[in-house]
Amino acid sequence: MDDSHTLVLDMQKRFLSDWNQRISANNENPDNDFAPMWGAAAELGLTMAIAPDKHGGLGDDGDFHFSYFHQRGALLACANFGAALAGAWAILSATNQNDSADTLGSGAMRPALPTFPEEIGTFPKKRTLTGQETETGIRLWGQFDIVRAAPLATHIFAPVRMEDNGDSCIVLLDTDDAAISIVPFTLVDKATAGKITITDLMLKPTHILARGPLAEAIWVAAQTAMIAATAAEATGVMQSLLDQTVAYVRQRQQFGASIGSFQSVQHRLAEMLVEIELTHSLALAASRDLSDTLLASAAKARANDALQKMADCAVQFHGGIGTTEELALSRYFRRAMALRGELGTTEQHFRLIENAICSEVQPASPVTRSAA
Amino acid sequence: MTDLALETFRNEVRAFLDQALTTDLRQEADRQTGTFAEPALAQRWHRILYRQGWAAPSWPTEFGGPGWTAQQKLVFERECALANAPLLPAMGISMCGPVLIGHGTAEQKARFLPSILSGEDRWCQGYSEPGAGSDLASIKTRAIRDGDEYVIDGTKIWTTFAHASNWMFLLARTDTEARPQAGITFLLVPMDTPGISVSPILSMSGEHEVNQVFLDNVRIPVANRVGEENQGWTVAKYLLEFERGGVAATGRTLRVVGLLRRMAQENGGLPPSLLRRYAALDVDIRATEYTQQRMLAAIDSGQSVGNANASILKLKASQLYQTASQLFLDAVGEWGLVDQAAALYEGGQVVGPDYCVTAAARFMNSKAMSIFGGTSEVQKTILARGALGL
Repeated sequence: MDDSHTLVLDMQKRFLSDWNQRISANNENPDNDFAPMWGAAAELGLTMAIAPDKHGGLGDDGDFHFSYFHQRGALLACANFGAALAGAWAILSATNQNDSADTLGSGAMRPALPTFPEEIGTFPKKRTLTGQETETGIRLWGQFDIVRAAPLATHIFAPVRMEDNGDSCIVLLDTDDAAISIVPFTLVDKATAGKITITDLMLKPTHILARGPLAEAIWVAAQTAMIAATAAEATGVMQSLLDQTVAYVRQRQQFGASIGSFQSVQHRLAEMLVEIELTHSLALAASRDLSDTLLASAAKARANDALQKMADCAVQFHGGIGTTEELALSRYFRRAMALRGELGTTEQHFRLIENAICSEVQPASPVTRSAA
Repeated sequence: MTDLALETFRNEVRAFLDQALTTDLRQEADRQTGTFAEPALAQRWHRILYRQGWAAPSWPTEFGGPGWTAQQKLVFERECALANAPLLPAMGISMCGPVLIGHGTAEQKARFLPSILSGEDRWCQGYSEPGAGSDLASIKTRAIRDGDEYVIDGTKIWTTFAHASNWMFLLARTDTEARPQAGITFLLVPMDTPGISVSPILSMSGEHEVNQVFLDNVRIPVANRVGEENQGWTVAKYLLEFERGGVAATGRTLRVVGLLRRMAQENGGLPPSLLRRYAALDVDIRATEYTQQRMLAAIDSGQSVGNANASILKLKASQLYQTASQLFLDAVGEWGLVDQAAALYEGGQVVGPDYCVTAAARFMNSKAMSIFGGTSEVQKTILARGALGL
């Protein structure tokens, strides 16, 4: 990273801290002001900053990619201000959609991107929209049950399966389209999400971003960028949970001493420190090589488990107050729950790693195996 | 009791639950996410158990208990859990009742036990304070003797169902000179006494279970003291043993496992990784149940289960419940990412299938289990000191 990266990170830190103050002062949900917030972030160049270099951003630098999302986790101003941006840039960049890229960079596009925990590491086999070729483009229908930020988004990047030939496509939808209806609800981290239903949407060919094996590869690459971003964000959440807990156990007095002076507390927090350092390393490595899907899976699997351990530990050492809505801690705990479940659970990422191991260790020919 | 007699008893309990737990009650019980069933539901179920004579399994028959052996009590609680009966608040039947039976005067027993048994009086527990959690003996709430009355000033926190209770038992400091444990008195306080105010605290899940209670110049008769003045610590510890070890350690966990099983049946099974975790949990549940049976068999008379044994059960009860809640959350998959507070607490719509509605809130609430009633750290210290002599 050089000065330009540091400058952006400093700016983002101030921006997120200001929003955090506002949120805690008024006890408000940042999603109530999502569009202005997104606009203000864009004005500071924060939506552009994570773009690939060829689109004028700094996002090709893996250390910057990691720090950018780590900071989002650590300062947790807005849960919906997250990984979808990384996914959107990956798709627009790979498909050379320069106009849309400009819109995204300027802040005029607020992207939503459905992800399916059970179909991680692949283009979805089942949960796509269905498309039908027409003379003027394609006719689309289908639904997505849970899409983060959908009611706040201007655009949706969506996977489509063509009805006639089974081709995979990635399309870009405008949420203003009358054929799209979005029913909003709230996620565990208090962020807005929606169920998207699409009935007979007529899509112009220009909004089909990629088709066939290329679309599948781009979708996986976008997912990998999001998984790495989420692992980095999780590391930031963990770091903040550790910092909050260390500060609390220093000041909380029981039995005439700070509870941080008890060895059982010290040892468990020391274990958490080790967890966070290891997760940090893996997540950083994943950000540095976004082409390595297994590395991203390893980072996310580890982040999921470490995150839950740290969140449990933070609540435990805060005692009663840790189980309430009173402290910022509860927002971090809820965010940890969401991050753990999104973009692949531990089991799902382990399965991808298991498959990779199997393909390495299994004998080349099953015949040899049964003969032995 | 012979195995055959115990099986006959089990069948009797099952037959009762089959008939008494109406669809309506079961559905409401399915929606519970807190430490105990919410007050209105608990009250309904309490009345039904009371009419059956089964409201206070641990009480001696002379006070209205059913006269069961420890084994029978365990069978009863296990069957209730498997049938997903509402989990009754412990504060009256399982805490205040045993304390009065063990330490109350004849007048106090006559006055308070019948209405605890019937569910007419609903009790809350005034132990923790903002500055006194794990270090319970450092409580600052004062009770000063003034003729035939005590005048109480201070505040209590994490008071479960204070907003739905008409009585509170509390610990107050009556001697500031003595060492902390020696200056505490156990008092019974009507919640409608002037000077008491209750302020709700929302749990992380959005649920209202606990409160902070403020006591400002609250006057109660000296007759409401249990045990001697300054001897409240002995009473308090006696009660904590009931809180930690008096009920089936696996009751809450079995209820979650029941939800998990029904969900799996509805969805055509569980993936292998979750099955493995379920199997491990199942083994741990059985180990805990046999441990509790081993303890209860030795003290089959409704008395205290002992400090160290109670700590083992409290530790395991928290671990099992948290493990089960996590497993259930993971098993509902992405629906566990949805905040269902509106459906649970405000009569709104469930987002997604019905079985997913409690998963996230229950998971959040389960985290309190290793904190209330003595944190897991406190239980381990008791075990290290009391059982290992360290």
